[in-house]
This record gives sequence, C-alpha cells and structure tokens, in this order.
Amino acid sequence: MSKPFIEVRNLRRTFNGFHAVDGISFTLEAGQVTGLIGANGAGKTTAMRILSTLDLPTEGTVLLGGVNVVEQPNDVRRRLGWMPDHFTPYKDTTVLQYLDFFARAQDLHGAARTRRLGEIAEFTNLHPLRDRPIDKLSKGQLQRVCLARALINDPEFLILDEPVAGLDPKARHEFKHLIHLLRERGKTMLISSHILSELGEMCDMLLFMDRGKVVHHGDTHALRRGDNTAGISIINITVAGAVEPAVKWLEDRAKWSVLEELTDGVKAEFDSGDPTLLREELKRMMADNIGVVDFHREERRLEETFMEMLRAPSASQANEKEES
Amino acid sequence: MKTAALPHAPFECNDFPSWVPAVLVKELRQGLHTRGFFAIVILFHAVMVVAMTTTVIALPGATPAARAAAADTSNTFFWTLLAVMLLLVLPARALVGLRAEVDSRTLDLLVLTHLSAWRIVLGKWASLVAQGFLLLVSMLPYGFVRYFAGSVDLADDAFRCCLLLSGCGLLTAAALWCSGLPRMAAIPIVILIGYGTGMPAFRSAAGAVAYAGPLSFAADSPSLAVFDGVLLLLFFLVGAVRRIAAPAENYALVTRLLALPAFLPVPVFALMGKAELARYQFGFAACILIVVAAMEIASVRLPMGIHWRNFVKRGVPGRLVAPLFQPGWQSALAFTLLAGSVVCALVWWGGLYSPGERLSFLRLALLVAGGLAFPAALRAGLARKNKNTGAVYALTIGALGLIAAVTSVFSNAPLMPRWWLEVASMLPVSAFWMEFTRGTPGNSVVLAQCAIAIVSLITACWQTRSYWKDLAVLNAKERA
Repeated sequence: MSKPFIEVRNLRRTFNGFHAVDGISFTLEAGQVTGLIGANGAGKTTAMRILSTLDLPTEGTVLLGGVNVVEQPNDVRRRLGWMPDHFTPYKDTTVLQYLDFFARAQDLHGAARTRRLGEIAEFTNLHPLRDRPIDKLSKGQLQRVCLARALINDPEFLILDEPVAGLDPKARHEFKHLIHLLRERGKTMLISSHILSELGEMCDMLLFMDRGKVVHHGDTHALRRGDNTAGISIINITVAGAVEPAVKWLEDRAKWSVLEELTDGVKAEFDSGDPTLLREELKRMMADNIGVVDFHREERRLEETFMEMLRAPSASQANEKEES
Repeated sequence: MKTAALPHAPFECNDFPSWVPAVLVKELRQGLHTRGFFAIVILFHAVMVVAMTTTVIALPGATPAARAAAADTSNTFFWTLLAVMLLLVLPARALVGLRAEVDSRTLDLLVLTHLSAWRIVLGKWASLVAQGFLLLVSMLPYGFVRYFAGSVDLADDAFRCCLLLSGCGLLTAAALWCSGLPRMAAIPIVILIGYGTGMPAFRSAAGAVAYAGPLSFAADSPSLAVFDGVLLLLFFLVGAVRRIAAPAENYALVTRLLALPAFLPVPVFALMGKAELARYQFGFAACILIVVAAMEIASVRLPMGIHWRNFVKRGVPGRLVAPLFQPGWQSALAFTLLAGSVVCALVWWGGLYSPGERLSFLRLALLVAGGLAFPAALRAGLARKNKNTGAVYALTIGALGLIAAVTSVFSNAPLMPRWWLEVASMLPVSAFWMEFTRGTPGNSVVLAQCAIAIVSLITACWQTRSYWKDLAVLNAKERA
C-alpha cells in the first residue's frame, strides 16, 4: 500500500483553554480531492492553517509528503498552494502586477516567469482582466485571481478555504470547472465549504468536523448511498407483474418497512446501511421468486447526512458519559 | 463570417528588471501610486514653489543685509521642509507597514512564498527610503534657487542631504519595528516604556551628551558614527523581522550576536589613546546589549527540533553554543549572563576605568542583570497561564521604570517621604534608573539593592530548570 500524501496525527490546537482542533487524525492520498465540512467554529480553518504552515499545533504531527509542516515549513511551502477564506487585494495594483509580484516572490525570473504567468492566466481566464485594478474586481473575478496566485508555484497540494462562498451561480460553475480541471491534472486538494451539495460534486472524499473533532471521513458516493452500518437505506424496488407479493414479502420481514406502494414497484426503508446485508436481502428476494427487475438505493442529500452525524453523539462523548 | 480570435498580449510586467527584489517592486508599485505619496509630492512642491518664488522676487535691488536675510530664510525653509518630509512624514508612513499586512492577512500569502521575513522587511524599508530619495532629488532644483541668494555650499549641502537620508533610513527602520507590535499591546507598552524607561534614559543620555559634548563623537570619528548607525539600523530591522518571522525561523542567534560588534571599536580607540571615544562607545555598546537582552528575555518563543538541529549539524562547536542561542527567555538569560560577565571581566582587567569606577560599574551591571531577571522570574511564577507573557515582561519593566521616573521628578517635593526614595532605590529596574537621577545611595541601600538583584537572578535561574531538561530531551531526540 502506498504511503498517504498527507498524514495528520492527533492534531490539537488550543486557544486559551478552548480546543479549536481536538486531537484529529486522518490521511489523504495523492491526487485525491477531499472536502472539509463543518459548521462555523468546527475547527476547519484552524486545521487548514496548520496544514498550510500558517499556525502551530499545540500537539500532534502533520506530514506532507513525509515532511513535517512544523519543522520544515519552507520545504512544505514549496509544494503548497493556499487560498484563504478572506482575501484582501492590494490597493493601487493591477491584476498583472499582483500576479507578477507573487511570481517574483516565488523566485521565478525572466522567461520562466512570463511563461508561468501566461499559463495560469490562460487557465484561470485572466487575460481580459490583466490591466484592471485588483481592488475593483467582482468577487468571482477575485477568486480566480486568488486561485491563480495559489497556482504560481505549480503546487502538488492545494488548500482552498471556502472558495465558492459568496459567488453567484455562474462564477460558482466556472470555479467548479477549474477544480475539475485541477483534479484531472492530479492535484491533491483539500476544500472547505458550507455548500455541501457542491462539495459533493467536487470531492472524492468528505471529512466532517464538529467541535474540533473529525466525526466522519469517507468516500463521497458511499456517504450518499449510506454505506455505513449505523444508518438506514431507502430502497426503490421495481417488479415485473403484480406488486402485492413484493409488498407482502417486505412486510413479513423485521428489518423492512414499506414506505410507498407504486404502480410498478415499492419504496421501502431498510434498517441498515450495510451493503453486504442489502446484497443478502436482494439474493433472498430473488430466491423467493419476487420478480425484481430493479433494486437501487436512493441517494441521500449530504446536508441530511451531515445533520444526522451532528445529532448522533460521538464515540468519545459516549465514552465520557459511560465513565462518569 | 467567422472572425479569428486575437492572440493575447504576453502576460508579463517589465516595469522593473528581474533582479530587483520582489517586495521592493511591490512596495514601489504601490507606494508610488498611493494618494499619500501624491499628496506629499504636491503639498511639499507647492509650499517650496511659493517660498522660493517669494525669495527670487525679493532679491533684485535688495540691500546686502536684506539679501542675507532672504538667503537665511530660504535656507531655513528648504532644510526644515526636507527634514519634515524625510524625518517625520516618511517614517510615519512606515508605522503601518507591517501591521497593515498582518491585519489584512496578506502577510500569510507572503510567508507562503520564497520570501523570508528578512526579505519582506528589507523590501519595505528599501522602498520607503527609495521614495525618500526620490522626494529629495525632486526637491533639489529648489536648492539651486538658493544659489541666487548666494548661500549655497555644495559640500555642506551634500553632507546634510546624506545626513537627512540616513536619519530617514534609521527612523523608518525604527517605525517598521514598532509597526510589528500588536496594536492592543503597543499602547500600554509605549506609554509605560516611554515614560518609565524613556524618561530616565533621556535624562541619562542628556547628561552623557552634556559631558561628552553634543555629537562630538561624530565629528571626532565619522567612521564610528557610520558604524554605530549601521548597527542601529540592523538592530531595528532585525527587531521588525522578529515580529513577523515564522516560529521555525530562529532569529535569536542574529539578534543576540548583534549586541556584540558594538564593543569591537572600544579596544581600538583605547589603544589609539582616544579614551573619551572608547568610553563613549563602551556605553553605547552596553546600552545595545541591555536592550537586546530585554527584547530576548521578553520573548516567549520555544525551541523546536529544527532550531537545535541547525546547531548540532555543525559538530561539537555548534553543540556547545546551541543552548545560548535558542528561542526562549531562559536561553536569553543564560546568554545575557555570559555576555555580561565577559564585559565585566574586560572592564575589570582593561585600563579604561579607574578602580573606583570599576566597582561602580560592577554594581551597575548587577543592577541591570537583576532588573532584567526580576520581571522574568515574576512572569514565570505568577503568569503561567497568561498567553501574552512578553507584554507582562515589558509592562513590569515599564512600571518599575515609571516608579523611578516619578520618584526622581518629585524627589525634592516636601510631601515625598524619605523612606520612599530608599524603596525606589532598592527595587529592581527602578534601582538602576535611580542611580542616574539621584546618584549612589547609602551603604545600607546599596547592600539591599544588591541582595534583591541577586535573589531575582537566582530565582529566575531556578525557574529555567524545566527548559534545560526539555533541551536535553530535544538533543537526545536529535542524536537518536
């Protein structure tokens, strides 16, 4: 098995006794796009700032490609692109001057600088804005400039903090397209957002944070389907012929409850999200001659999943209660 | 009909060559376009045009006395305006230099590039000095107008311009240093340090200048003035750099070592028989060492593996000096005590001071060490949970200095009790300042102040135990 690209171990950040990040651990694979989800104050930005070498952890280790972000921040910074949630443009500077300054700051000189600036301007479509004062741009245009700046050093790992917040639908669509292109280029990305549906579209993995802890880390599609042993699954079953035998079969079984009878099938709730159990149930239906022609799980909205996770007490809280 | 898309113009910006440092380019691009810069240029030129036109109009047919008066007026006007511009307006602009970047969080974006804290600060400073130079050059034509009034000495003018530009550089660096301070901490620190330390220090410095003659050292040895000026400049710039440096960058080494070159000219002047200059330089160097020690002991940074590793990889010598140059007040205290001991040994065995002066010097050195150690011991004992312990240190020093300042000012007031004068002469920090304002106290007070200083030192040293244990663990880890 290959080593993870990002390794976070028991990361903790405390501000005057308050644990903004409370002992989180996770790993990210190279080329993966991971969404970081959490309510305000969940610790997303703090975690991202530590990952990007801008803050120091109180405890724990963060390795980026095997390099410790606390001990060798300069090595990490060469491989990192950071897009903050709050972007203040410089005054009295054009888009071209702004990007040219950051290219110079990344030690790009002469033809190499011109070439790199041309590439990122092409990628983020900034040619039409080159001579516009940067503090007069719209929010969407600013975000593109900010992304262009983060890409100047051609980083392997991109940290984007709320990149689509406050953007209109068109700008949001354009931005998502850029993320998609970056994913195709093999960039590893960590993106935080409040708009969960859009994170779902952009990310391969999702990491849920609540009160400084990671409450879930898993595959986006599996999460949508409800591939976890705890939850429930909503199943749409289409049958050939009469629907009644299927309804009776479901009602006779303890784990099933019928939600709705349809003209060509039934919508039912299964008391588990475990795909193995579901496969077994489908096998039994087939064995019992229920004429199933379609059996699929309804995808859940990420917002619902997220709220469900927030409602469920975390393992540590349960342990604490038991101990007390 | 299809129209072919026009090719884009190259996305390049060639207003500055590639070799010009990035931050300087950015600051000049911004600085030369700001309303503030335009306002300064227009205002100062307008005032200068009015003043010089008045002089030129008044000259034809004027009596020699009137011509001399007009020349005097135009001279005064010209140099005053230049001084205000270079020594006041430009350094004032630097007062927001770093704070603006920190507040708008643009500093985060800068530190993620290849720019070190040093390059950022140097770029900002160079940009402001370059703007000052531009303004100075733009004002020179008015200087030539004074020729008609017959009052131009080119060599003297060039010297004054250099002096103004150097002053601008020094003050801008000092302003950049201040701009890195947290705003909330800056106000009480400036008030307390300003009154508590600045006032007695000013009185002592005024006494020293009166004794040595105003700026006599600069006239006697211009090279020494340049040497000390450069040291001061570096000292301010390093102070600013420390404010924004990433925790993994160790500026303890540079800052602490910066205190030592100021001592180098002392033996040179002593051997040349220029005892006055040697004593002046010794005092200056001692002041720098004290300020550096106070800055470093106020620091609350902690050593990291990377700091230790940078020394250890240099072999045995690196391992030996490493404990003296780690971030943290404990290491700074050890450095201060060692450097102070070396300085005291030089004073004792050197021929610069008489035997009586040597004893006084040693007592003063003890008061300094006690004064630096007391706030550290207090902070370590009482303010363990306080995050901003650097401010606690500075405020303690400021408050104790304030006691000395107020006591000195009201020492002759009828309501001032005698016992309070003695208490102020015994307290740490306060005792040091009282020495300059009130002179040497009686024997019992001297004994008490020395005892308090020694107890403060021992307490502070005792509180560094866990730090040295942690360093030993760090060393063992790195060796493993």
